[in-house]
Amino acid sequence: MKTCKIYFILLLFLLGCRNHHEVVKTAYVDYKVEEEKYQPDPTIQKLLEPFREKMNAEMNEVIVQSTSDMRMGRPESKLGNFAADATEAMAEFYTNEDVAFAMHNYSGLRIGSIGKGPITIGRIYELMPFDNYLVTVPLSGAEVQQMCNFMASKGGWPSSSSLHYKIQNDLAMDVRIDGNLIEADKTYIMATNDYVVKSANYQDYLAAKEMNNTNIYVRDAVVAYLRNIRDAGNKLEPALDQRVINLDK
Amino acid sequence: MKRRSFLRKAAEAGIIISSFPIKSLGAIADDAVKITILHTNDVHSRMDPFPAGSGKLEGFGGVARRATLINRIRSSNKHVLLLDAGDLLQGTPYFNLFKGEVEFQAMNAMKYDVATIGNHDFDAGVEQLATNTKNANFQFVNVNYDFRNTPMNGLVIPYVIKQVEHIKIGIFGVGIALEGLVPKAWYGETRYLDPIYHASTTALRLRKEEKCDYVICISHLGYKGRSLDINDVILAQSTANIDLIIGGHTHTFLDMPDARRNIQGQPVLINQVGWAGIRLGRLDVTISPRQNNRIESRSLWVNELERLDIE
Repeated sequence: MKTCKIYFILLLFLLGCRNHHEVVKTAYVDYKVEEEKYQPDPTIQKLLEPFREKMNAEMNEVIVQSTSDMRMGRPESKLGNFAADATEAMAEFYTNEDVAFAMHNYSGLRIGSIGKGPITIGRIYELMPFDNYLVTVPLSGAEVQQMCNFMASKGGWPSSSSLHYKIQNDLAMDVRIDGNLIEADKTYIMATNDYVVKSANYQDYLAAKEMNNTNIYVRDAVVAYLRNIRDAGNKLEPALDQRVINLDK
Repeated sequence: MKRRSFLRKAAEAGIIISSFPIKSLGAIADDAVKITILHTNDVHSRMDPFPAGSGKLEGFGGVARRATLINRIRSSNKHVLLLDAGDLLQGTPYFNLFKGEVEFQAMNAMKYDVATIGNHDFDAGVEQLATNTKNANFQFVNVNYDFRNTPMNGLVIPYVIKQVEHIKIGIFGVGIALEGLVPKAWYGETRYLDPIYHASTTALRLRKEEKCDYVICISHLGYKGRSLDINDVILAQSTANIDLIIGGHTHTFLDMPDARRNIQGQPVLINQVGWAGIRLGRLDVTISPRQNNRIESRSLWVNELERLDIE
């Protein structure tokens, strides 16, 4: 009896001294946090309230009315087209340069859609939350081709209506500015945000360029652009114009 | 006589041993511990639900509703851990106006336990990140940012260990390369170190020295993708001693955890729940004393991954 107790204890010790546990089961679920499913927690609501009030006071100004829904997409989209067109117009306004075209990195625009009707400042902050500056850089025609090849390889990034090209085999074909085929040796001014120029993720030749920095955030420039439309008694009319056509699809 | 008695007793002992939860599938020991891991990533300052005009996202997200859900889960589960995998900041005017104050306060109120740092968490500068971190009730973990010459020095630790009954859980964090992704002026003197090397050594330490039963890596490396040299899949497959990677950065909605094998052939789960607090991830991990007769046991649990039937 005594012996077997010792053996038993020894056995337990052998089990125990491994000092390890093991996962026997993993169960998973993703909860969808939907408005109608859960009541807002009152403690958090109270915490948010003073911030929200202050934010709304600054951000709820309607800066324009839009005639249609805008969504992000490739190769072109109403939201991307509007953002790039606004960027080109405002770059010309602030620099007095003859800007050839404007573009943005796709993930620089952070929300997928803006509905038709009133657009508040807050929505433009959500679209362009980053404190990125509106800049221009001079590119040779060859570099414009490189830039367009790069955008083509991504399936089309937001670019302004002055620039038209077609995507074929992941390359940009028939690249035109104001309707004219680009010339390799000519200089073209591109407007964009400073992140595109400086980011190591994009094109090496861009990082080496001297930027003309307006020191104005792109977001603020776009807000000014929309206010101008409103104050002139007009509406924003987002449109698709086949500026980028993907022949690969 | 004595010998016969011993044999008989040994047989009894054998019965006792085999009635240990020798784990037919589904049978779980009484001394098993269930840990409920809740997680978010890339919330990007989405304090309120998406407004009208947000397409299919309209009405999703919002911290006040998430808090209600978290409280509900906490009230019916004993051991809950709440984790965030970075980029808690940037994306709505809350951040532009208040520089992170609201996001940190809300995370404190929701009682987050541990978080890691994403690239956008530097967007108001490393000094502001330090100011926010000093007000955090949750712990930032990271093993591959050297913050020594920044205001973040001393505010971030490599890992935390949570003791849950007789189970030890190690939680560490890894972050993405900042150069080219974040302006230098914002991350300052923060130095990026090799995440695979530092994850490997930290996980080994947690397993062997700290004797953790379960090791979680909170990662802002990104799930996978051609622009990522290092990502969660590579991390999972080229290291050992990590059981679970809670990921972020790529805004990936994984509808179920991705099960991979590590460098030793043992399973690693990777999970990520998109962005903006549209979803809250939950993993219920049940941990039991190891069975002596099942050397292969650790490779079995991936087969026992099941969807929780609650919503």
